[in-house]
Amino acid sequence: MSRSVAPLPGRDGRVRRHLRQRWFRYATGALALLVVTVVLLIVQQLWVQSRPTWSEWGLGFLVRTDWDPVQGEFGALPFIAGTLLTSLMALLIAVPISLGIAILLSEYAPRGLRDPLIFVVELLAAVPSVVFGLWGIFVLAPLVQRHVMPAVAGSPLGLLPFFGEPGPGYTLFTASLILAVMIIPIIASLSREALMAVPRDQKEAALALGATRWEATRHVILTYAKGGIFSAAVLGLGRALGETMATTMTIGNRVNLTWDYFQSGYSMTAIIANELREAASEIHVSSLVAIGLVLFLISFLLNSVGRLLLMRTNAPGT
Amino acid sequence: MAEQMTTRDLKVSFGDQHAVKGVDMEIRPRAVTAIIGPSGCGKTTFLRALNRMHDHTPSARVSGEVLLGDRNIYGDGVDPVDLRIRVGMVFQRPNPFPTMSIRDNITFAPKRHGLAKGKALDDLVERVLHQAALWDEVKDRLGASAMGLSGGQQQRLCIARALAVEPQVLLMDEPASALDPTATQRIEELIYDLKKDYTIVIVTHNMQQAARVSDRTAFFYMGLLVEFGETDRIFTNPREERTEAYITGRFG
Amino acid sequence: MDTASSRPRGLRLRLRHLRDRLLVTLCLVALVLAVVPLVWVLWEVVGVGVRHLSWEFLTTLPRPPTVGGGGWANAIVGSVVVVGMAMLMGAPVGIATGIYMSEYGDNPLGKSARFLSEVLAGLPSIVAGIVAYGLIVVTMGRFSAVSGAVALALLFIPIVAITTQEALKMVPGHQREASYALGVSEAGTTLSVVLPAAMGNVLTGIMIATARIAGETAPLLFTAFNSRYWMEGIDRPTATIPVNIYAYAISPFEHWHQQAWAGALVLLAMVLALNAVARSLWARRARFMAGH
Repeated sequence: MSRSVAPLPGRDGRVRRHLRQRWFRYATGALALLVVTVVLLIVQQLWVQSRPTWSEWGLGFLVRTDWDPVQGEFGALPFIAGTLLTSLMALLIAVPISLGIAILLSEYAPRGLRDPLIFVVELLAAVPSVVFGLWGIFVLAPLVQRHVMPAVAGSPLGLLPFFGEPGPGYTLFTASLILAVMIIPIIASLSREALMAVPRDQKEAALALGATRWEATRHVILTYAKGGIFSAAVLGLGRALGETMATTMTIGNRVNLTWDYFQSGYSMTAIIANELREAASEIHVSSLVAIGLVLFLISFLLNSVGRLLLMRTNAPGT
Repeated sequence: MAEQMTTRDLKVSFGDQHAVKGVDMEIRPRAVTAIIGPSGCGKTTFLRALNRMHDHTPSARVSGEVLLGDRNIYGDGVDPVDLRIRVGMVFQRPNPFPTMSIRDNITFAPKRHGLAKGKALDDLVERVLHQAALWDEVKDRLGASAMGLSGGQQQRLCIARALAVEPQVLLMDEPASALDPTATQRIEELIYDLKKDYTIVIVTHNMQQAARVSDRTAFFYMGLLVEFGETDRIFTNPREERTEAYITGRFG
Repeated sequence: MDTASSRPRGLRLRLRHLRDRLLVTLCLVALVLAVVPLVWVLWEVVGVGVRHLSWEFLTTLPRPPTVGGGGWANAIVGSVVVVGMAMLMGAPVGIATGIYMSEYGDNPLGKSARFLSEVLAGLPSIVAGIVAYGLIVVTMGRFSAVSGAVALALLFIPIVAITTQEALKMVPGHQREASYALGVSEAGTTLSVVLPAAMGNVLTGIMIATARIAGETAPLLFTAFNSRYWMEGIDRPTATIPVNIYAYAISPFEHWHQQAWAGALVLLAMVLALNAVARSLWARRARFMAGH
């Protein structure tokens, strides 16, 4: 033996060896654990800071309609309603448009055009919300006031209870439009991924039976991908609910419980953005945080459901 | 209703890659024509050119003529959708529509083409399932998802689905390669039954299969049709050296 | 190929093709509807912003609206500092989490980290602000740059973790095996084989995450807050570009509105440049990797 071989390590050595081999796994794992605990930290923070409100009104806070910092009266309903109304309207507008884009990009666009178009749609997602808000204040809101609302009111849609007399430019309607623009990229790109994940042989089977491209898309590809498209819509709704600046700058910021989209309103994010930095009383701060907690829970729920559905539908073998 | 297909100097390329390099072939009606050859020889590419599936591959270029009867399917005014009603296709992997029931898989195309409705549609479903020798196995669960069927049953459903548009020609791309021997045998019996009504072209990598089911066999190599003739003669007395080398297993 | 039965079928076929064409047209309309606002926003921001962008705007402190002139130099510095601190805090955690999820994450911890990262990436940004507000602003008793950075780091980490994981997954497994076969430890394998191979894409992920937080406004409103002066320390209120855009836009002064557009131009240029560079890098690398 020309080389000496170290004796096999004993018990102590084995532990040390194990650590030398694996410390990196444990170190990165500790930081991954930190990410997991951040979620708990968020919940804990929101809960602790909002406790005065829950002990004052309990869950009744969610359905109270007053918001009067001077009198110390607080209730979340006008904000929850405003957030739901604008987000749902945004979803109603954004889903068909996003689906059209997704179909175009995955089924029809020639390859040379596809990448630039995807780039443009992703660019839309990169524009900061406050820039959309700026545009909303000075460009979109006046336009909506002068042209869009009168046009909608004059059309058959105007007969719906959701559209009353055209009001000022800063309304639930304006906020919905801007939210729709902002959630189109995420819904379009997730839907496109769902469409692209449909096995090629499905489309070929339909085409070989003499289906037109549209029939293959409509009856085979869309039905195959409907789970993925649904989760795209759920995640888009989550985005719309949590969007702050564009909403705050266009919704009108008036505590106003209504379903008339042509009136000013308020959203959960907007009230926090406007009042948290100058809230003086403990109950005022805690009521704002309580709204934040509700917002977090709703968005956490939507995001979890959306992601779980995506995982299930994108998993092989289904 | 079976029609003859003829190709004249058919060439298919993908970008600068020439997959089929000028093939002249006459495909007889009411007979099974098998296409054999080592992988990459262009046999599947050739088959897909017969019902214009390459229209959907952006890089594919097709030139030459493919006649269905006496009309060039790549000629002016021929609609690929209309063509595919006449030239059906069965794929290598069974590909029933998973979101549809067994019945809906079959009625999908006839409904769109306006071939039948109501009672006539029910009759059509029953008829093609009988033709595909699947009726007895699925008659009690026509509304169930097609994904509950075995691989062999799924493939027979795909054949039934293709028959439901009443094509003149049926193209089959290695229809049994993903199946077990028993299921393969049933598909082969089915092909034998179908040839009295249809023009059938089958691509296969399995020479025994070609010998069993086909009347005529074409041997493709490097994108060229090397030899084409009666199956018995090709397998017993090939004229080309490359054909002999392939069928005796010396390459491929 | 005409047969007796082909006439009604021909009409039907024409209708089906017509519908095919109609629906493609509708899809095109949808694309136009999405692209118009984008082009419009860019048009306005560039058109109006350029007119009010000046050397003074980039290099001087704000002045009262009644006086006119002045600039956003403090906000530009503030944004760079706050975003930079968020990156310093967030990048190590995000990258380490991404490494764990990709290399050792086939277990409950790895899977929940991945799932929660995705959920956190969809977190309303204002909630991150509330958390930083409760943790730091309330404790310290004043608004501060560092609290804003913590809020942004909460948004930064999940994006970096996800993109890092995806970048590392693209490195072929045989490279790891080759390294392990030479007796290299896990740390050595990851740090000197896997991570360098994926470095371009990891950096791309960081750039995309940076672009995202650089434009964030809501979480800074009640953390970094605002200031009219040069930054006095990371424990002090600090001006940032996005918050300034908001504050100036909702002010009643025409002069400030113009500055908001100029600020939006600066912000947009930064964010879009980061995105464009990042995406073109990613695309090239992905193609390069796929080719091997």
